[in-house]
Amino acid sequence: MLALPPAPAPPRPRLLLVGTALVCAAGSMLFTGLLAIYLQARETAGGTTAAWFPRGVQVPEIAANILVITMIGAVIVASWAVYAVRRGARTDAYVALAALAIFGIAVLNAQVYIWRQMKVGLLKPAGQPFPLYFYSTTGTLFAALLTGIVFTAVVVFRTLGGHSTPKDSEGLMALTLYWYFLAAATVAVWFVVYVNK
Amino acid sequence: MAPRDGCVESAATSDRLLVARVRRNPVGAPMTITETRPETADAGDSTTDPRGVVVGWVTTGDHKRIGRLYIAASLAFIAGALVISCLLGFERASTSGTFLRADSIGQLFSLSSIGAVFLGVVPLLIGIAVYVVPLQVGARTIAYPRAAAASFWVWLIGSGMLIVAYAANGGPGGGKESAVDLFTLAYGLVLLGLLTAAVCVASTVLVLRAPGMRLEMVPAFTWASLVQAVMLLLTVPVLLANLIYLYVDHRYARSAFGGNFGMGAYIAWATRQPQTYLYAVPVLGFVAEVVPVFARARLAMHSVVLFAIGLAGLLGFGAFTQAQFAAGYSHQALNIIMSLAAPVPPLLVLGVCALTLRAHRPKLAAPLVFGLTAAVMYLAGTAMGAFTFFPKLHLVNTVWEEAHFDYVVFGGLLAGLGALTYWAPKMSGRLVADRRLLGLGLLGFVALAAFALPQVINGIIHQPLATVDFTTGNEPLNLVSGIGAVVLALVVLGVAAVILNGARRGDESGADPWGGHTLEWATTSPPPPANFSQPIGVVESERPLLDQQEGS
Repeated sequence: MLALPPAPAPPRPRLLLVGTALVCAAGSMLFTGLLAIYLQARETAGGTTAAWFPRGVQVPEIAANILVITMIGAVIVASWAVYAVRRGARTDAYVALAALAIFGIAVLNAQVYIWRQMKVGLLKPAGQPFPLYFYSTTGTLFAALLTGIVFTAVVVFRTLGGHSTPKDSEGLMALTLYWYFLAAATVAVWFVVYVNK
Repeated sequence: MAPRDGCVESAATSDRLLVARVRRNPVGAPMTITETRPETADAGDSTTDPRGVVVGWVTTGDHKRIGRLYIAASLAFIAGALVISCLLGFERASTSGTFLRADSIGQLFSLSSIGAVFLGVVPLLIGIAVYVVPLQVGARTIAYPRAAAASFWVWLIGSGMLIVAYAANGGPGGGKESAVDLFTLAYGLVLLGLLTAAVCVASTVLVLRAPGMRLEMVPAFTWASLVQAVMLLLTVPVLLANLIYLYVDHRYARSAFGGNFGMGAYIAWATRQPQTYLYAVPVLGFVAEVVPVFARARLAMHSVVLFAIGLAGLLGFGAFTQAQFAAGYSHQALNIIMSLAAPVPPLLVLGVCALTLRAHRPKLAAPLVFGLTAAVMYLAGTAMGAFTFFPKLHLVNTVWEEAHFDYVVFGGLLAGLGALTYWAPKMSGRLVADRRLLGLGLLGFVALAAFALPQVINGIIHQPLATVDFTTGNEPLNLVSGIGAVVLALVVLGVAAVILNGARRGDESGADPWGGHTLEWATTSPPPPANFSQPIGVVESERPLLDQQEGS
């Protein structure tokens, strides 16, 4: 009896990737809304940095720039993790994921450092709304970053458990997509809040 | 090779799933492949759960139970919102002083609109989608079942907190600081829950469709649910952004947004046109779903209907009309263009339905009545919206806008009730009293007309929006509006009672009591834990069961 070769496996639906894409789309609208309201408030306050930004407050620009550069680095190592898993280089993938987690924590650290260095309180200076918008925007970004680190931890454990394989790297791809979203949001917040002020 | 996910069935088995124009998947694959663990997809029903009824419901990952939880809770909230509307109607009709506290009027108005939308109609339609959409696309479960369950509990807790916040003198214009803070947090939780459910519904449609079911082949209700879910994901986060600012400002800063009295202006866009159109998009999907079934024919132009539903979703994008960007939002060119275009989608869908009904004499049944009346109300609402921004009519900030809201949002309620009457036999496995429901459908139509039509007239004579402090001498019309709200609330309760009664005492419905065309009618009623006991082959049209009927 002629033995036929087994049928090919059915294409695997990219459920996690699609779900993450939808979450990223929603997150993008959240940051679009936050920044649009920020810019509109700045415009209403006079449209210039002098009218909007509290006197005597210094933005730690080096820390802000490092924050953005670190985010870009995080995206690169996330992409590296996917590349490594697809090639079957698991050790490289572990290194990349560890680097991603460290970069993420470094970004959080940079954000906390900026908050501490700026020394601008929510209630003071009175009558100036900049601190309200500043803390709301950067705080939301901080929460999104925290979510990204938790997501990274989950994917790391799944990868250690053997879930990520050359044929099944969907979890890592979803994680990378989320970090791309985080990087885009960080760059947007950096430009609007720290550069444009 | 063992099939995945335990979807093991003999190819020789023949039942309704193996329909005439549905051929076997060439690789013999199961109908859907998901990452969902079997225990979430195969969660048993409440009567057989060894952990007990309560624990079974609280910890469920079964989309059918989650959908029913959403439906039950949202119906209760809708009835509550309608009671508030009725109280406000009577207050407006009162000529001998007020029986509501003057300082709570504004809060009641905001609670009635937020409650109707985010505690009522949107979760009702999402709950129905959570139940029905996986069945319609031939999936064993919803995408991310645990997230869907979490979405319900987050939404329910948020809803409870929202009501507590209002009761404690919170909400926009509230007098107690902590209660106002609680309101913003609770509102955010409600939105987070709904957004999570939207991700689950959209992912199900995008990823878990049966083999061969291309996106243009999905049933109209599923398509409408997808459009609504995606557009919610693109607009509601902007409302969340507002709430973040409002919370931080009110809790810590008070340097912008006007504190408790000013915050209402920044979130009002979510319950105004064009955003309200988005909440009722499933109306169009539902009417396009039931018309061909009861006409026993194919829908004349399925692709036109899908286009119209997609357009309705796009025209419901209202995030740009919020107060920061649009102090004069009524003069925005884009807003005016969108308002003028809004009647086009319901006209297209109703036109296609009319063509189908004209060619085939329909069987009169409650779901058809609910669906058609809901679509007519939606059309009326969009038509009113087209006139709202005509400068010489001076309709902005009058109760004209309130009537527009009622027609659109409660049109969504009628569609939701219709969907419940349509899918109740599928949910319970028992027939419902269709004659009674048909009567309730007609009564609901009259009640909604009585609820909203007086406000149309009052709007024309410039009765101001969201206040009881006016002197136009039109108290009788406000009384009629209040009575309409009462009757509509009774219709909601009546439909729920008839359906529950049918679920307990009705005759067995069989798998397909209506002669349905889509995949949910191919499985038993109620569906088994993993939805389908047999694998589905490759779907080749948008009406696979009708194909089977015509082929046999």
